[in-house]
Amino acid sequence: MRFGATKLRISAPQIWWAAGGAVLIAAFLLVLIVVTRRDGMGPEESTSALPATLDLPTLRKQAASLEARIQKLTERQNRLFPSGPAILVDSGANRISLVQGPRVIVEGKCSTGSGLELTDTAGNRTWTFETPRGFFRVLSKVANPVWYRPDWAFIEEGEPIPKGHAGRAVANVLGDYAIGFGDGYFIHGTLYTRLLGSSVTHGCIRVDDDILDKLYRAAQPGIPIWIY
Amino acid sequence: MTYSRLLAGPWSAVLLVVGLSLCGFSCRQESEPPPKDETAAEILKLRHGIAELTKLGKDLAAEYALGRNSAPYLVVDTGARNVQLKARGRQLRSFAIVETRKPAKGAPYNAVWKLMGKKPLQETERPKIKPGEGEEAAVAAAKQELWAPHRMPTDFDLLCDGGNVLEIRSLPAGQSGSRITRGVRTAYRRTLDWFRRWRGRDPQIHYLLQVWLAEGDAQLLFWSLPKEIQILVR
Repeated sequence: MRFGATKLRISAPQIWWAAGGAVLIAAFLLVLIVVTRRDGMGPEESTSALPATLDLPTLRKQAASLEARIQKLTERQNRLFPSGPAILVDSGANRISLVQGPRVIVEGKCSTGSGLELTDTAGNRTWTFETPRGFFRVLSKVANPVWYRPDWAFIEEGEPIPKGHAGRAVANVLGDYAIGFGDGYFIHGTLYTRLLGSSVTHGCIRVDDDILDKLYRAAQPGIPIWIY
Repeated sequence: MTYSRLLAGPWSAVLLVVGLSLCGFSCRQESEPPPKDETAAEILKLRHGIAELTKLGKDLAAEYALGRNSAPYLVVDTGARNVQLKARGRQLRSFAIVETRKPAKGAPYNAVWKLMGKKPLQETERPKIKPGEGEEAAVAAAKQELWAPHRMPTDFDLLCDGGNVLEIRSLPAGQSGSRITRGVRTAYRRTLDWFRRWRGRDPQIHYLLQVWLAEGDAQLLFWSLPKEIQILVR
């Protein structure tokens, strides 16, 4: 056997091996072509996991059913927010609003926590005057409220702290009404109306008389308050 | 018989098989009846629509589960590129996402994380009053060093349950300062973030999602968050 000028000796098994290899390569290429075509990267693949065999009427039915479900879910979601009165307090902008569903009943300036920190002379107790964020409910409403000064009010003024309730009551500083929402926090009136719109309080929410009146009328115990 | 002649047969067979198969496929494609364009287009459109509706349905269902409770919740939507603070489905605040960084693998979709703590990366010093200064002085101090969102940290981590972390990073807002100042500040922020990542990651972190907001938005988000909140990540 000649290969160019060189004589080569190739046995029969070697010929069979070469032929078998060629056939195997051909088969592999064939399979590769078939698989690639079957799994083609068509746009349908990215759309959904739906079987490719679904026909037009089935797809239409499925789309309609999904649309109905979405509408139901959207309606359900829209009903989540209470249709009754609710109070929203934007502590960043110092704005308060009374809403009823999507409607804004009243909206205006308020004052929220000053963020100041007070530590007593002994250094044992520290207060941070901040309005809490989150969800609350109206727990109480009082007309002509009397402020019972907490310990920090005496420390702030440098006065001795009384032992009991006596000497703590101060009238006519919280406005006409006070709406309590827990942990000693109230929405109430103020003598410092020029400070409305600033963060200057000890954590309570101060509003002017007009807004306070409207809030008081609408605020039944249990109505939601969101502070953010 | 030469070596080349010997192998010519099998290799010709290989070429023949490949050629025939290619020809067969192209012929089959041509011999198939031409697709009805309108029907095919409608099927494609419907399939796209169904995919979108399915996703929307999942999103609504996930949010509904959170909105049933009165507590506010946060929706971090990396697809829609916004962060929303909501309560009972009503949007309280919304912030546009400038950029998101997340691991390619195991990206959560409609996962609910519970906030365990906020970790500011800058110190925020509160204004202080001394005992005996009185309310007038306190008001003056409060007005002088107004406690407002602009005093909040611009970069912070929201540490959530299960080792999940939502990193909030910020870039100077478009209207803040000149273009050069903004460019320098942006470069500084990015370098700082790169340096933090280069220093290494806490091995206890399971999943880390980084969201870049405008500076003011990041501060307002920090300001608005209650101590406990559920975060819907998608």
